[in-house]
Amino acid sequence: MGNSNLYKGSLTTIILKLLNENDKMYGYEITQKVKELTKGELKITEGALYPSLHKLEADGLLDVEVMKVDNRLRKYYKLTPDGTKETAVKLADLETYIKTMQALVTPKLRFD
Amino acid sequence: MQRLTELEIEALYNFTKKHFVEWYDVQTELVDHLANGIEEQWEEKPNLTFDDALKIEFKKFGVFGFSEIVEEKTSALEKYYRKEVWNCLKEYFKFPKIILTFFSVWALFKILQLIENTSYVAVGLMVGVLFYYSIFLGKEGVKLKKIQKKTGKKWLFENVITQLGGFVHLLNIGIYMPIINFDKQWDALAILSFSGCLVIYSLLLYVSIKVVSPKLKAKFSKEHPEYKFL
Repeated sequence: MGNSNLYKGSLTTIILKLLNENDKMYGYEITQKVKELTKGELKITEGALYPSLHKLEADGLLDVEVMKVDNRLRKYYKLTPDGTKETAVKLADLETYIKTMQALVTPKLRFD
Repeated sequence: MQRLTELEIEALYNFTKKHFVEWYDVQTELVDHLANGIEEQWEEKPNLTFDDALKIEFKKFGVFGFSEIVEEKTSALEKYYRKEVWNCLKEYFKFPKIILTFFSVWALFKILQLIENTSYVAVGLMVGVLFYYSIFLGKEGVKLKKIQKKTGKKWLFENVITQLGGFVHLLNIGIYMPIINFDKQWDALAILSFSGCLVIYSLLLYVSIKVVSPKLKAKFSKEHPEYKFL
């Protein structure tokens, strides 16, 4: 990954977006999905992922379900109705941010 | 795909314990994460030993290992508990419950005004509330020890309940007793302030013990099937 600091503020949005597209996911699955979608450009570290998930859970944006898979227990996360609403807000905020950054980094040329 | 055996899963639980994760609910998530990582490594390098694969996986958690995750999880749970308490408490300041709140303050104010030795009665009331608080903490402590003895597991959320989401020290009414001045006669404002504070304090305690703690237990029983049967 080029610069992890640039992605830091968007971790919550990334998690919410992934959970919005998938019914439920577990921690490891989220790290792998991000790696796969960004072709390895973005790697979510374990030390950042779990605190974010736990915070979103405490904020009532995620629901949890623990299930036995193979020979071990697995903790799945899914969006609550509040989580779904928050995802839309966060994505809109991110889109605005990207547009603003694009305008700053690549300003349109004017020929008047 | 090569999967971890029951024994290796057990070894992962012991590994998290060794790395200062004493809570079973937190261990479970970390064990699954490590197990997935190890199995993924075996896909590419089938000859890698369990111990070597575990070392590689653990390194990914950074220099602080699991400690940051445990700290953040504890603080997130405490925050959740306090938020729930606050949301419930707010209801007692909205119609119709606000009538009960004001009536309690008014009734206590009137009773204290009729009594001569206000300081002694005030301390008596505080001791009564402290007794209720101590009974709850004692019961929860015994229950925690029983579960731990029976299963060998400690649950973080149980601990947060016993600590009343970090309110445990704030809600220890004993620390406020030295404020009471036995030599001074109480005026109306002092009695009203005491009545208001005691009612709010009692509501906070009631909401924590009787509403939020059972609600949190019900939530975790639903999420963790293993806990439901304890």
